[in-house]
Amino acid sequence: MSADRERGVTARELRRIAAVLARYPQGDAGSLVNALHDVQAEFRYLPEAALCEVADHLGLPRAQVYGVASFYQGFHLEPRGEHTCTVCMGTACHVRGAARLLETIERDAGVGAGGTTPDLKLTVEEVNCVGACAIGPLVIVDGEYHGHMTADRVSRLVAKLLGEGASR
Amino acid sequence: MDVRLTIDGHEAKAPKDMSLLDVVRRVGGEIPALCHHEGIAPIAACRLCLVEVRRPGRGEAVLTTSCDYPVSEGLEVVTASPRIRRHRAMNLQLLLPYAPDAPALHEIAESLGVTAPLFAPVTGAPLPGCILCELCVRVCAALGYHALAAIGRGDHKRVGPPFGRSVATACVGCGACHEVCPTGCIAMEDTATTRRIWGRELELFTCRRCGKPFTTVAHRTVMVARGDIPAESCDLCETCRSRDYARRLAPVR
Ligand code: SF4
Ligand code: SF4
Ligand code: FES
Ligand code: FES
Repeated sequence: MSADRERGVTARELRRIAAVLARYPQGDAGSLVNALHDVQAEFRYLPEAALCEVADHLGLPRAQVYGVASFYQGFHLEPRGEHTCTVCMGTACHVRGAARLLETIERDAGVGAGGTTPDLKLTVEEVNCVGACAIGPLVIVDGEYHGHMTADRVSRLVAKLLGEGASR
Repeated sequence: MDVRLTIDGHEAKAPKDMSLLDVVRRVGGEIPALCHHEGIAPIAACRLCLVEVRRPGRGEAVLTTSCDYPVSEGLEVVTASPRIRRHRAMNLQLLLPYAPDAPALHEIAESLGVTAPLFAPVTGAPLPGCILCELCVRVCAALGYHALAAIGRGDHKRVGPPFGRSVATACVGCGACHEVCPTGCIAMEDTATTRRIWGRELELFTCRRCGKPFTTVAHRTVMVARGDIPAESCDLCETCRSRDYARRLAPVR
């Protein structure tokens, strides 16, 4: 076990995981998905060490916990950025130039869709129609919908998201 | 508790809730199945074991997978009909592109009169030949090793070592997954002294008497610790072990 615990996690992170898991009774396998949600809320993704801790706490095999975590789109197994920029690639947004928006973001941020900038500032994502076709093309930044998006505006948005830390 | 049912018009008895597929097989019936193992909970992945069942008081016979269908009192089962055949054939055609070379699939194809897959063979799969029956994952878990996982979803679904590794670190090399895989796509290579499987290279354990390697050192260690092999014969291969038992029995006549 201790070897697993040393895999890239600090003692402080382990304490954070333990604090989350304290909400669940030991061996309560039925809490798996809830526990994963809570751990992800803490780290924005599910580090391997966290998956192992969750498995051990709930009395489940680690391979099975990994299988569950990898099944749901909502769970992330790779580190995520502080901000998320999601481009709608649905049909309505697509015909209004979503591909161009995505290209712009990818170029500005230096990562492809599905990727995260090395400084963990921004994660770029695609989605296929979120039901707001009327205001397309649509870009969602940290859950906020920005309609009728243009390449210029999205470029400025991304610059702001990437620059935030530097200007602080 | 036993229940009574009819299978293709013949009466049969079986423990309530037993898998219908197992019941049919027990009375000598034949149903194609690629993802089923009697000792392991079914997941109904291959969709080949289709049968028609009618519960008492219900009008229509419904098409259902039999491996995960628990038998109940008064069930009427049909294991072969044009409708069953048609659907089994279609499902097999959907599997064939993933394992175009697997003899088990060809055997079933022949029995169903299937001559061609529905689409071109799949290339570039993470594990060529895998039909995602998950028997390997389930058998490994049932044996308590949990070295494999079913990973992802939809067309990204695959089986293999968890946590994005290329090596199944928890694998002891027992070979059970290789044994149960219906398409034979899990590579296991034994040299004189080592076994390679799932990216692992494990030392083989040789029988103290005949010198034949009979499993890996890691697997034997677990079996001994669990008491799966009687301590007095844990250094012997199965053949030599049986001989020992036979010898011990010999005086009893
Ligand atoms: S050989 Fe390894 S992966 Fe396969 S069943 Fe045995 S322990 Fe599991
Ligand atoms: S490797 Fe074999 S046993 Fe495992 S899921 Fe694929 S086909 Fe089934
Ligand atoms: S296509 Fe983008 S919101 Fe519907
Ligand atoms: S054996 Fe029933 S679905 Fe595969």
